[in-house]
Amino acid sequence: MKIGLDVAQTSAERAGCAWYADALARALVTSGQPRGHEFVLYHQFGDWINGEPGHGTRLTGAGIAMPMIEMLPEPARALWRSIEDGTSPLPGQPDVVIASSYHAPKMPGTKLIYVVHDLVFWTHPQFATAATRLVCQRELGQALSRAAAFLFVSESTRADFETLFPGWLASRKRPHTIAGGASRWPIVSTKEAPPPHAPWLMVGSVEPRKNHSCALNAYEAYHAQSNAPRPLRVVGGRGWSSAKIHERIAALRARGLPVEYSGYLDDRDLREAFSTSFALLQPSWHEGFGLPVLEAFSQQLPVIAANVASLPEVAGPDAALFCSPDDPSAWTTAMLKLDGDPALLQRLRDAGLDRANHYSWKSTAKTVLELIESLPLA
Amino acid sequence: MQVSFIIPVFNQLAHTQACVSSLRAHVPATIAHEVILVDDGSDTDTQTYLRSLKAPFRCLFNESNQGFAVSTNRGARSATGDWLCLLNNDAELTPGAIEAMLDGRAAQPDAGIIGSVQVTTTDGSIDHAGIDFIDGGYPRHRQFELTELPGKPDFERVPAVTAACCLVPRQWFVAMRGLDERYRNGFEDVDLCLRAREAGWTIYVAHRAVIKHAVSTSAGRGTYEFRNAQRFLERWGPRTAAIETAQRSAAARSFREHRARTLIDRDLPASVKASHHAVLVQAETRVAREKEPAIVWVDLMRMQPGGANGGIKPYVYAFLREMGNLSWPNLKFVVLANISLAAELSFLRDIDVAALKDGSIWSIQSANSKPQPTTIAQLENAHPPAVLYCPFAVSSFARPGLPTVALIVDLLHRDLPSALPIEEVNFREDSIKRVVGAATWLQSLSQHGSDRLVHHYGVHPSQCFHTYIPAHNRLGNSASAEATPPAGPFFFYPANFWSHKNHEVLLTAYRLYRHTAGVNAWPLVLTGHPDDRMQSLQALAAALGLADSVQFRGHIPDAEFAAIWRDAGALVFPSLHEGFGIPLLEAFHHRVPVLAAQVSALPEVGGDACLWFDPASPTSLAAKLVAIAGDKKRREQLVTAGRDQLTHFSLHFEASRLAHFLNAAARNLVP
Repeated sequence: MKIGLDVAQTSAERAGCAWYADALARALVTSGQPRGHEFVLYHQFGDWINGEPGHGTRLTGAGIAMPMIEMLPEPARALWRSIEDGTSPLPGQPDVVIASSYHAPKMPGTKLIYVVHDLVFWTHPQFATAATRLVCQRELGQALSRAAAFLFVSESTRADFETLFPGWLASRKRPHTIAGGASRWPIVSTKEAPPPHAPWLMVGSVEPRKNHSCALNAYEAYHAQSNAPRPLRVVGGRGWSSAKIHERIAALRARGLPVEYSGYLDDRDLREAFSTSFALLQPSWHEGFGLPVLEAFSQQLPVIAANVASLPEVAGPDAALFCSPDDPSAWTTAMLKLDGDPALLQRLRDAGLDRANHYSWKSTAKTVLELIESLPLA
Repeated sequence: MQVSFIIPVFNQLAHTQACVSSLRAHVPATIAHEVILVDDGSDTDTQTYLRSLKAPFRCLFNESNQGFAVSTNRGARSATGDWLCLLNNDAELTPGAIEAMLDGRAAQPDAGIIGSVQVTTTDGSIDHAGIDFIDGGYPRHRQFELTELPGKPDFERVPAVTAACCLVPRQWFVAMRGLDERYRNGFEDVDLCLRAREAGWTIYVAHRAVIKHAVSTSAGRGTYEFRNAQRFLERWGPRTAAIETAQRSAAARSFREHRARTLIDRDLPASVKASHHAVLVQAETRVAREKEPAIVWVDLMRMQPGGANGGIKPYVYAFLREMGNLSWPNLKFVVLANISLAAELSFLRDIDVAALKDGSIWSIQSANSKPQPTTIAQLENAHPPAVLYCPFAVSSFARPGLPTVALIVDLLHRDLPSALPIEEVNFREDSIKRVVGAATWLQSLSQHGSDRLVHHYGVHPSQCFHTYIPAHNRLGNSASAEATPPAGPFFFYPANFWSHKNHEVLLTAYRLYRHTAGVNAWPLVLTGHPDDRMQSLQALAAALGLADSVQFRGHIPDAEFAAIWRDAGALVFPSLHEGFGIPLLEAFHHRVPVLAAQVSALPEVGGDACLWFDPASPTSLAAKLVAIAGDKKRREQLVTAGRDQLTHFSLHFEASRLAHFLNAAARNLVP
């Protein structure tokens, strides 16, 4: 089969959904080629038109095409408009296309498989910008009538979908599956105890949903109460509505607290950040999946996570300490506990390793390919 | 009932008693009147006195001190007279005062607010009569000598008057929600006068109406002076400065004319006589031009037949019709449109001229004659435009030197750009920037709209005005239309299928509602211009299993539309952005309860008469649908609240305001 992959988001950014799209594309190509599939990568997709498509996922070789990687925005927009109204064929003419940037353009003659990362724009609209909400709901509306199958990144996301559309997947007999993410790095099997200055780590774009203010509040109290407080390292690009958080960090630093904002880190630097940290803090108000949790597990980092959405599902019951995202003092307590209890630390690290083994891109790719192969022919 | 006196009272028992006595003594029995005193948290002695008063006096009591504006508004809401007489409790009427003010309406049909001459209680000298603007637009009492009084006409036009004693039309006052309660004991009367001027009223002082007033002795009068002044100048600064300049020019001009008239017959050098003569000729031309109608060109080139333009069409047609019915200002309309609109425009009989374009050929159609071919140049000769009205903001007829009034329906391209394709965002930004720079007056459809103009483009508040859209009466009560809507109550959402109308949330919420409501679920009826988006949404409804319970009616004619309103169970309005929200008033008019999104201009239009919801969340809307469908009592409450809310929207007042601004632009007046 010829499988089209929407990697438009990867040309614009490399965090969150974009990172997932990139990883999924690579995993599908790796697993799919031996099964005889060919791939077409789209760096301009529907209404997602990039100014610089060339920054996106690059995969080359026999059986892989990237027809839009050099295409400028104006011709790309015109091409997609004519694809949607049927006057131009979709380049590569794939049998299916996996859409992973929330966009669901009309592609006559091709089956659409729609990836649902989360439904935050409807379940927690305060955590999505007005633009995001409008685009996501419009495209989801189109996906509902056009998609041949759905991929949910977690059971939690699927449950959110079921809350909004009760009984729909079953009554429409729409094929769907869970296509979870996984750590991008191999498991680190041995590791020494972390040095005393190994910091608390928080990874995520600076936006309201990630709840940096809880981590900062908890850290402030932790720093005051601990005898030997560890530093805090905040990693992640500037998202939106981030000014207050940056001001807060600056204020804490001005008072002498060892808080560091590292900005966006690429793969190598990020891995280094994980491996040299003490533990991960994930106080998000909501997550579709929560990749940093698995990444932390793979680097033998214990995790303190919010007890909401997909985090309990992905982290499992044993490998993380859970706190409520609206209660910074609980986080402070958990941080102090973890600091002072090496046995707990080791237990969490072992359980985390075990948990990380549950997820792999190889198995996700296999699940997705099996779904695709089971779809009835057009 | 002719007059309702509204008197806020805060202590000052002696003054209040004197005021009451003067009313008893000097309001003749021939004038049917009532006196409403509003106690604003006074001391016990005052309250005891107030409670002792009998008809035609009656008292309302505020729980605590709320200020002059709140008290006045409260009194006005319970009044029934044709006119309100706003009166301070430290003022006293003199014989003939109230009759002199009431005569003002008969003498001057355009009189909106009629003030009086105020003399001091101490020595009877004139304190002031009316309000001027000085020093760049700051309000000040007008003062002049007692000896000047006989020389002045009975009714003198003034920029503003004080509410120490003035007459205001009650219906207008209540519809416009009275005095602005954000002012605290100062400037609210001048603000009212400026708003009355915008509506097309003129402010007069009745020189035969003399009031004794212990001016500015009330405690707390000066406490908020600075804040009041700041609020006032922020809102009106450039306008009052313009009024001041216009006053001075008018005074200078009338002096020149008076001097020319006096000197023209004297024995003077020829050149001097010639200049006096020129002034007199200018005066004659000016007077003649004032008597002529000002010609308004209305650019409807972007209007299409049917419903594609959305709410702007009912707005334009309703206002054109109403402006044709007004007795002043003196305007004549030339409507420019595409030939495809000929049928729709034919029933606007009061439009003097319609110029219709077919391809590249223009033809002109007057009230009772056949279409005649013409050109733009001929039109300009026969009907030279004094002002260009642009309901679509931009106009190809705009040119330097031609004043324009431009309507900016909304700033969707700035407030919610993702709702529009990028080219449309750029086009609108380009056009509106140009319009904002060039238009004489900017019109929006709500205070919210004006606020957004100020916010996004830095336009000064006094350069904008807004008119609401009470276009709901166009549907009438046609009983003859067949009942084609579904039997039994249904949810109704009339809206074109643009992104910001939020149909995806509605359909998702509706499916959730059906999931709960089961067999007794109400159907959902949608109307709107049928386009690609409608087909897309129909596919979505089908995919959600709603093909049998959601009706897509397309764009339907008025009579059928009215029939749907008559039978609707509730209006659901989940739009993310609105310039106004005409369907809310249509729902109130047809006694349909309203569920509306709490965004944009909607709260201003719906007030307390809607069940508000967050349009971003399908689950919360679904809960509201379930709640309203199952609660008849709540629906009845909303219907009653809706009828009440409707009283604040009068097509006559709104159209008068637009006509007034068109007239002001045409004749270079300050509204």
